[in-house]
Order: sequence, then C-alpha cells, then structure tokens
Amino acid sequence: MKKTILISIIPVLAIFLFIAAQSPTPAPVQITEDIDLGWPEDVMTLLDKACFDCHTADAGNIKAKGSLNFSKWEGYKLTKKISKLNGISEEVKEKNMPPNKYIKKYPDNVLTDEEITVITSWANAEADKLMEE
Amino acid sequence: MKRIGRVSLYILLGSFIFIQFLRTEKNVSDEVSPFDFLEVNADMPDMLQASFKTSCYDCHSNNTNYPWYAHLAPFSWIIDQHIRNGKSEMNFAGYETLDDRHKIGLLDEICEAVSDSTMPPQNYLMLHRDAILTPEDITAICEWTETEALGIIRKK
Repeated sequence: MKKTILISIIPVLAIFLFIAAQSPTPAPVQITEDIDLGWPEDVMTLLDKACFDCHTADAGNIKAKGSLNFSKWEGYKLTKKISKLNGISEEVKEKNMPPNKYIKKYPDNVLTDEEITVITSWANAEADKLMEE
Repeated sequence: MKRIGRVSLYILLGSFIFIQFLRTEKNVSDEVSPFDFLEVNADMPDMLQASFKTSCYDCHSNNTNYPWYAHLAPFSWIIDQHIRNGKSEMNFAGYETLDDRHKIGLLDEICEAVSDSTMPPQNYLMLHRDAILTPEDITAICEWTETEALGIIRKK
C-alpha cells in the first residue's frame, strides 16, 4: 500500500520538476545596437541593463515580450506607445520592474533610486511629447 | 471508526456555522461617483455600457453585484480578496481623476487585457457565464477605447 502511494507520487513529482525546468529564465542578451529609437543614451543604457533581457525580440520570456517588446516599438500605435511609456514609468517607480526574481539572479542589474528617476522622468516627458504631436 | 466520522462531521459543521459570524464588509456604495468611467462616458452605446458593468464592475468599481453564495464564508472571504485586489489595481470610480496620460494608459490596457483574455479572470468567468466577452464584444471595446484615447490626444 505504502509502496503504491510512493510509486504514484514519483511521476507527479517528475511532472512538477519538468514544469519548473520549463519556466523562463532570462539570459543576458546584448542587443542595444539593434534598437535605435532616438532615445537619450543614458536612458538606453538603463533600459539595456534592467529591461532588454526580457522585453526584446531575442528574449526567451514570452509573457514579458507579449506585454512589452522594445524591438517592436516602431510598430506600436500612438496610443499604445503612450500607454507603454506610462506603464514603464509606473512599474519602475513602484519597483515592480525589474522583478525580484530577476534581480536575485542578476543583482548588478538593479536600478538605483537616481536611475529610477531618470527612467520615470524620461518616460513621462516622452509620453507628453507624443500627446502633443 | 463510525464515531470518529460522526464527530468530525459535527466539528466541520460547527466550524462552518462559526465562520459565518466573521463577516466581511460589502463593496456597495449608495452614491454614484461623479468621476466614474461610465458616468463621464454616458454617451457610450448601451451594449458597451452593459459589457463594462457585467464584465468589469464587480471588481473594478465601488459597487459589486453579489451572487447569493458571496454571503457565505469562506466564499465571502475569497470574493472580498478578489475585489480588494481588483480595486487596488484599477477602480473605474476614479477614472475622471486621472490625468490624460494615465487615461490613455488605462484605455489601452483595458483593450489589451480583454484581448489577451487576462480579464475577466478565468476563475471569475467559471461562475459568471454572462461576463464572458465574445470576440465581437472585445472588438467593440477596443474600437471604443482607441477612439476615446485618440480623442484625448486630439483635444490637447
């Protein structure tokens, strides 16, 4: 009886392990040169450090790419661009992004408070600029 | 063995009755917020108004339309938690207090969330079949939010 239970648990555990292994782990990619959106260099450096590993075409994180993909930026509608800039500003300010899980893995990629301000003030100004155009 | 079964049944029943006394505060407000999304957009087609009301407002407004089981613990606790989370994420009652940039952001996110089926959540839809949005509903929502967002930009 005990043995049967034990045996039936093993495949369940195996499935869990399999799922765990499948979950996306960001791999650092160097793609700044491919993305040229005319944004200030200091902002690009920060985005490259803290965002591009998951939010660009080469990233393996499908969910992150789906909600924001800098490689597709030029293709976004005007309203989408404003919305995404607003979202970047909010998520970075609230420290929801970059996620804790990512920071744990890549502690060097954490944004300092000054860097957060650089991103949020740029994103807000950029959104306002797009609204004026 | 039989006795243990009966005793545990009593304990279970007793705890079920006991937890009914741990009430949660209901998300029901008598006053209509003048900043409410549907109030300020009263010119929206009725069909769309209805979609927002049945598919979003239970968790994203100050007025929840409670089903009967929502008064029973422990369901009331779970529902209460869902509403809390929904409102802290976004509350339609305060729409008009947002600045233009946040409004555009919200309008775009509404379209995005219903398009990729993030909203309404699957567990909510299991018990609220009428809240399911058809592809036509989703198209109508996105056309409206896009027009509205562009209108905000143009007005500037």
